[in-house]
This record gives sequence, C-alpha cells and structure tokens, in this order.
Amino acid sequence: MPWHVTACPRNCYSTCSLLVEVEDGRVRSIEPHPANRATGRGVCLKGLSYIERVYSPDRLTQPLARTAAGFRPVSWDDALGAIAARLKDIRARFGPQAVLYYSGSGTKGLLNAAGMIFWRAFGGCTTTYGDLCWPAGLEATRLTLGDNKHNAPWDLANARLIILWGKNAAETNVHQMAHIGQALARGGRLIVIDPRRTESAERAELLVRPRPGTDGALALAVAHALVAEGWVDRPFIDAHVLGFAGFSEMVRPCTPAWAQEITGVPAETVLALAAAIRDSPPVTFVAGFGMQRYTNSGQTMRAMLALPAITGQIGHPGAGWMYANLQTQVFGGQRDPIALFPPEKPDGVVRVSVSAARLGPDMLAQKDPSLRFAWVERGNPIPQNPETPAVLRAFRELEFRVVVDEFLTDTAREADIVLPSKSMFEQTDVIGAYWHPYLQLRRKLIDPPGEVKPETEIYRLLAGRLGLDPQIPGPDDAAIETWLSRKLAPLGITLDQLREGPVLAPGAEEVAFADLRFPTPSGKIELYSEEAARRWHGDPLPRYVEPFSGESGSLRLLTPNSKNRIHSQFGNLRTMRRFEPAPAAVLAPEDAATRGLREGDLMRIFNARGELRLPLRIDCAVSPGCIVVTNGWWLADGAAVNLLSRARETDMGHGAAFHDCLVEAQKARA
Amino acid sequence: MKLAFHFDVGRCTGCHACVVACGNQNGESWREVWSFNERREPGLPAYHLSLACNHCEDPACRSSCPASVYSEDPATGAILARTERCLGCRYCAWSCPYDAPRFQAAEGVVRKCDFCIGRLRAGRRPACVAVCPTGALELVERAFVADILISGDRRPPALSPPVEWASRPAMPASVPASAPNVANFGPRSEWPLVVFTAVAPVLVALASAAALSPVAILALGVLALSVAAAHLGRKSRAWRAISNWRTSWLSREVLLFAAFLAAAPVSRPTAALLGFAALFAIDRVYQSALRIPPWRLHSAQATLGGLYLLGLLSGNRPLALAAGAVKLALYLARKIRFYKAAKPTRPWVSLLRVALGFALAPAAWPAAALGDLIDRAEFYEDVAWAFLPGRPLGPSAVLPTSGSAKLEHVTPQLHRR
Repeated sequence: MPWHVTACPRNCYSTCSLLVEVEDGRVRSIEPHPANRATGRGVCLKGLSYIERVYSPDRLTQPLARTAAGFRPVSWDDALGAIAARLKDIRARFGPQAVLYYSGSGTKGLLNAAGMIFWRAFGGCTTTYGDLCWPAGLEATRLTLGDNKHNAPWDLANARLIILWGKNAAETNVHQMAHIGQALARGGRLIVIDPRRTESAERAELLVRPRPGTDGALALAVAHALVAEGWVDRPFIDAHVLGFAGFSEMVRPCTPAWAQEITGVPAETVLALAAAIRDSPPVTFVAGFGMQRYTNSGQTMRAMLALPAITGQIGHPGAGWMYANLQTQVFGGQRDPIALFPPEKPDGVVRVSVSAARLGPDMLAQKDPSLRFAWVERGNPIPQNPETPAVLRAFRELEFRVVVDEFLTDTAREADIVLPSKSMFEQTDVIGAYWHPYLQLRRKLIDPPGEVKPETEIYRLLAGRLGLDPQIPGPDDAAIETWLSRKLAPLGITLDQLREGPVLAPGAEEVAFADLRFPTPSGKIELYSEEAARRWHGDPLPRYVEPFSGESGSLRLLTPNSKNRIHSQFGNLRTMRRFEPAPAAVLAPEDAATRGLREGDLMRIFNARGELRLPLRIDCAVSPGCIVVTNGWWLADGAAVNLLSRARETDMGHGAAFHDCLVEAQKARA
Repeated sequence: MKLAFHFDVGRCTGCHACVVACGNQNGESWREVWSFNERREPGLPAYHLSLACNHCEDPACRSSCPASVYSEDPATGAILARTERCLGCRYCAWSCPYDAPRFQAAEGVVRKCDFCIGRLRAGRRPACVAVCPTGALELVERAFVADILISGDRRPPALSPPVEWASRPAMPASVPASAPNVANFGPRSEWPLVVFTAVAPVLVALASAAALSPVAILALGVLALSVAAAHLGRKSRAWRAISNWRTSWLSREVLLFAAFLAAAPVSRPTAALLGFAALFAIDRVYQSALRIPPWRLHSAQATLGGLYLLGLLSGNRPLALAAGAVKLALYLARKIRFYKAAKPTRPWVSLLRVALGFALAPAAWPAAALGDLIDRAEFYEDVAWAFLPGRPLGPSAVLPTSGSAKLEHVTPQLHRR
C-alpha cells in the first residue's frame, strides 16, 4: 500500500511529520515520518485517532440550518443563499464592521489566509487581537531577546540540566520526553517547576512547586542567589546584557526567604536551584505556557528570562530559553507576537477591536457599529475563551451566526448555519510549527466526505453570490498547489521537496542566537526594557507583582491540558473517552478533608461567574489550594472550565489570564 | 531470530499511543497500559506498564490450552493462536499472567496479540512499537529466557515544598476497573463449571463407595460433562479438549474423568483411582491458572470434597472426620482472613454452608454435597477477586526498583487506565 507524507496541523508543539497509508480511498494507518528529527520517533494518541476522527459518524458532512425543531440539513445553495442575504442586509444597514470574523487556532495552514482575503473583499469586518494561548511569554521573550526562536528540539539532548518550568511535556509535547530522555541517559539532570506533580515530573530529581502565579518571585530569588554568590557570567553580561546593574539592585531584597514567603518554596530549595544552574551547564530553560496565563505573567516570564541571561546560558548547544520557535514564520509579514497586536495605524477596513481574552465583554461593547453577525472558523470560542457565560451572551445577542467546523461543537450548536469543514487529509496546505524548525506539507490524501467543502471553496462560492472576486485559489487541487508554490517560491522550496518530507525553514538555526546578536533596540539581552514600560505601562525591570487577587475564593482553578485533547478537539472521540470517560475535579487530600469531601462526591465548584458540578477525584499530584479541571471539555460534557474563568488580559501581549481564577468548592446537594 | 517486546519503564509516560495504534491495526486493542500509583502518593514513584502478549519463552496459554490452539512461529518467536481450533474454554485467559488472551463473546473463541506477524513478515515493526513516541516500547532480539523484558527505573521526585499530611483522608484502595478477562467472571456466569466441579466429587465418591449403580454413574457423568460444555464458546469443538494432555491439566481432567466413567461399570478400584485422579486434575486446572501451588489447599477443593463424601458414604469415620476437619478449618480460616481484609464474608451463606456441610452431613450425605456446592460457588467468587485489578502481576513479572525505595515494600496496585 502506498505511504504518503503529511503533517498534523493541530495547535500543538509537536506538529508531527506523518506517513499515512491510504487504501481504497480510506486512511488505514498512521506512522511517524522518521525524517523529522524532533518527532520522528512516534505519533501521539491524538494523531493516531484521526482514523476515527475522519470517519466519525458525528462528523458534519452537509450544511445545517437552525430551525425551531433543531438543526436540519440544507443544501449548499440554501445555506450560502441565506448567509449572503444576511451579509448584504447587515452591510447595507450597519456597514461591514458589524460582522465579527473569529478564527481560532484549530488548524494550521497558509490557506487560512483565505478568510481575511474574503472579508477585505467584502468591505471589511471586525476581528480579534491577542491570543488565548501564549502571547505574554512571546512578548516577554521578544522584549528580552528580540525574537522568539530557540535551539532545535533535539539539541536538548546536549543539556546537562533541563529546567522544565510550567510545562508538562509528557502530555502536551510527548516527543520532547524522548529528547529529555536522551539528556538523562547522558547523565543530564532534570528539574521540574510546576504546582502539580505531572507525568513529566516523574523523571525529575526535584519537583519545585511554587504557589500558582508566583513563579516570577521564584525566578527573582534564584537570580538573587546567583548574583549574591557570584555565580553569574560577568564577561557575558558585560558584552550582551542590558540593565544588569539595575536588575541586581532590584533583586537584592528578593532573598530566598522573601521568596519562601510568597511562593511557598523553601529557601533552601531556591538555593539548590541556583546551585544546580551553577553546577550543571549547559542549562536549557524549557518554559511552558502555564505560568504565563496570569495577570502578572509577562513580568514573570521576563524574570525567568533573566536566569539564562545572567548565567550566559544562551547561544550555545544544550543551553538556552526554549519557549517558542518561530523560525518557520517565513512567509512575510510580522512575526508573532507583533502580528497578534492591534495595528498601530488602523486601516479603516478591518476593525481589530475585540480582545480574544475578553471576547464576550468586548463583543458586547462594540459600538458604531455594534456587532450583528459572527463568522467562526477553526475555533470553539464559547467554551474555550474566558468567561463562557459572557461569550454565550454575546453570541446570543447577534442577529446571525455562521460556524464552520468538522463537528457540532458548543459554538456550532449556537449557530444559525453550520458549514461542514474539511479534515486534515482533504486539502493540501503548507504548515509551519512553533517548536521544531520544519516546514511541511499537509497533503490532500482523500476526498472530503459527503458534501464537505474546504474553506477556500466556501469563500469562493460565497464571494460569487455577493458579486465579489477575491484572490482565493480554487476550485481544483492544481490551483491550490499553484497558489502554494507561489508562496514557497521566494524561499527556494518546492512542493516536490515537501512531498518527500519535512524541510528545514530557510535560515533555520540549530542553535539560536549563536551569533549573540539580539534584535532588541539595544542589540543586547534587555533585562531593562524601555519598550516594556512604554507598551505595557509597567516597570522596565521584571519586578515581581502579585497575580490578580480582586475576588474571593479559597481555591485557585487550574485548567491544564490533557494528553487526550488539543484544547476542545478530540475529546468527543471514543478513542479518548476510553481513557478519560468523564470529567472530574481534582483536589489535594487535605483540601478534600477540610471540606468533608470524599472520592467521587459530587461537588459544586463556583464563583461569581458560574458553576460546575463535577465528581471529586483526590490526587496528591495537586498542590493544596488548587483545584484542577482539565481544559477542553465541552458544555455538553458539563465541564466547560471557562464558565468560571474571567475575561481578563495578561499584563503583556494581550493573552488570557485563565489561571487567575478563584473558586469555592463544596459538596453539591443532589 | 526470535523477537521480543522490550519495555523501558523509565521512558514510558503512559501516553497510550501504543494502545491506539494496536486498535488501528487490529480493530481492537490487545495492548493495555497499567498504571502504578495513579494518585501520586508522595515518596512512591508513579509508572506505567504497557502490556500486550509478551510472546513468552514458555507461554502459560500454550501449556494450559486443552485444544493445542497456540503455536510458536519459528521465524519470529510469535505465539500465535490457531483460532479455528479454539473451543472457547478461556483457560488460557485465566492462566496468562498478563491477561493477553481475550475471550471474544460474539465469536465464542479467544484471540490475542499476534505480534503483528503480518508486519513482522513484511519487515516492519509491530504497530505499537512503530509509534511509541518516547522509545519505551521496542522490538528486540530475544537474548535470554524471560517472560517479560522490562528495564529502566523510576524514583519519586523530591517534592519541594515537602508534603506533610495534617489529617490524611483515606484514599480508595483501587479505582473501579475490571481486568478484561474477568469482567463477568463469577459463579453466575460460570455456573456450568460450578455444577460440574461440585457434582464430580459426588460421582467419584458414589462410585468408589459402590453406593450407586455404575450405569447411573455413567449417565450422570455424561450429563455433568455436557453441563460443563455449556461453558464453552464453541460447544461443537468440545471434543478438541483432550488434544493437549501432555501439558494441559484441562485436557487431563477431561480424559481422566471420561476414563473414570468408562471404568465405573468394569472395575470399582480402577474407577476409584481414575476418579480421584480426575478430581486432582480439576484442582490443578484452577491452581495452575492462578499459579497456586498444589499444597495450598482450598476448602472447596474437589479432591478434598471427594474424600469427605467417600468417608461419609462408606462409613469410614476417621476419613470423614479428617477430611471434614480440614475443610472446616480451611473454610473458617478463609472467612476470618476475608473479614480482616474487609472483603465480603457473606455470613448467612457461610452459616448455611457450615450447617449443611458439617452439622447435617453425618445424618444425610446429600447435605454435605449441598454444602460443598455453596463452597464451590464461593470459590468462583473468590477466584474473580484474585483476577481483579490490584492483583500483583505474576511471579515472572519483574517490577522495577529504584535506587532508594524498593517497591517490594508496597503492594503494587496496578490499574488499567
């Protein structure tokens, strides 16, 4: 049977290169493509579950229209006719900016640009800025190092000390565990910093568990110890670091004892961390997304970035700051996070005025024109954006909603028209990654089922009905490939190359910042950043601030990702239900005891915004004071975690401060 | 070149890719991930075991199977099930320490991991190995004699801040889950076996004491065998049960019992000898499946029951007293043990069993037979517990140890996730 090269386009570190076996027009088997040095070893269970996902009986294969009696299948003619009529009417009455175009991170691809091409041709729209996931860390890294790039994933094997900070790679980037394993096999060390004893911590010599949101204080205290003990790299600092004098002045009071007060981490552990950094270079700081989902997280990440900076642990093999690797963002335009920010000079056509983090309240607050229509694709914002009740209210206040999806998600259930979207095997596209430096082809291998049309085709047909002629490729595969080839041409890469396997992005660096040039305003690593102060109205130094505490609640709700889902995707499959049949809320034994709760008790978890009712699971992995419900369950599952979270941005980068969320939990009366 | 799965417990993160890949390849997954210390008790490591068939050097499935279903592929060492021979007796599933063979209720036969033999022959690795993202699962050349190749170690991470329990709430001893092979195992589902194993000692005792006509023994014996056959997934293949007398106690049991019935009309001493040999074989079937040594007695053991009834029927008081005393002592000891372990003791059933089997028995031997029937039914209930999750792996499984804390200090509770 023939094997085909493709790649998984999900919003995931790994972005695996895959070999797919297709027989009689059906996907039969999925295996890793060994040419990808980052992921060549294996495929995660989600990637393997595509065989179920693509052929799932729940997959949408024809347009649906809402009626009083629920959804009813309709023809494309009727669906697009209804949408076109609404769009014309709303544009005539309120102008094009009464339309919200919301696109999420559900799938990667250059053809995703078709959406904005269409909406510009339509006359404009309103859209979002910022991002739910990672911009605080991106912005902190950009301000400090000048760019978001890091050593190749496999370089981790060269590290003598790996500090996995706020990242549970075993569940969210399982391939990284292989590289960590290599480092350990060579005698390397692993320290994990996380409020939970995650699966990734099982191979660590030490698990440091700061109180959630206080990682910045921990980082500053480690910096204090490094400075006080003279364990810093003076020549490196003199040549490549801006603001060290001010920084060391700032951390002078940030003693380990001070940090113990704030973080709960014993002072001697802070010293042990500093000693490990001194003892075991090269050190790679692998920073995840967890601690940058707080109101203080930009400063937290800047404080953490100071550690590789003052110890010179950057720019050589086995060392560095491994957060986001945007070396595949090579198709022109600005790199993230700048690309995520509202434009400095609005063009008057596209109104970029809704923060993804505050989607609900911002949608409701739009004026002149207020929003009347929403088009949602590659996203499931109702359960996934903060403050689900507000998002739901905002969507319900609209006149008309169109959702493009493979499944009837919580958001699709609120739509007036649901359009079925392609799977990853049903249209060719080029995708980048944010962990490894490969460009890949996500190749069309099978025909879409039923009446499914790719988004490009949906836009082309809709444009035809509106009398528009946007430059969207289609309808046949050759036209798509020609369009992609044109995008690739300036890079000197051909589709034929990508058909063979992953291709390193032009200029990709195996060791990032090896030339020690940092594209910051000063050309140095900036511990002191004027831009940080100017753009985000904070301290130019990464001074510690407490996470948001303006509400009451005895437990902090943490909503980490599970290996069984990518946000709200995959959880609806039987494959995953087998491993995680139903949601639960997890408490430490002592928190369960003080509330008189026992394993399996139905709990009410609530705050001013909403309530969840979930059975209790007691687990020593969770730090006292926290309650954990994994992210990605649907409202339909009764566990949409953002019913409780607050629509609030991070201090930098327009991210979402998901984890700044306090709740109460008590036994529910049945 | 014989091959083996090699599992590195240090690398496995419990990601389940192997389980899903196996399901993609085979339609259903033969592989399971078992997790230890799922609740992350401080001071104990947490780890996973990914288990399918280990294609053992001397596989329990092959030696226990009465129908010679299992064979070894000489090229790869894969233990393959020739399903067309399977009578669905499930003895292999009970015997396997790793729960590899699985009874397929719809088909009435047992199937298991075939090492992806088709892929191996095509020069590819098994599906589970091919996708393992961390390299925990590998295909190796079988270098030494071992049932399961496990390497690697896990130690618990030092926790900072350290954990101190103010008041420690009770953790559940095990999560509700069921091992695939015994999900429905118990006296209700296995009633044909309960009946057969309770009736056989009665018939052997009656024949040995010449208390019933040989023709009646023969008739009842054939009836008992056909009741036992109701347990099979494929009754039409019941005749195959005698084909593996060399290693399978089940084959021996069937052969010896048939020989006993045949000898009953001919020679009483021969019949008695063959009958007690058959009862011994019955006991060995369960003991070998559960890896219990023959000297570890159970009050519902067929041999013991046969001797007790023989004593009662033949008026041999010393035999009746001795066998009865051993049975009563074993029964009471088991109840006390269960009571202490907070397992259900079924006091009313126990009282009835003791009253019938020991108090009334001297007056009327059928009371003893009824008492033994109850005991036998309880035996199947208890066997199911032995299979339930939380059962330590078989003696051949090598549990990883870590530098500081040896895992032997705790009962390894393995949960299927």
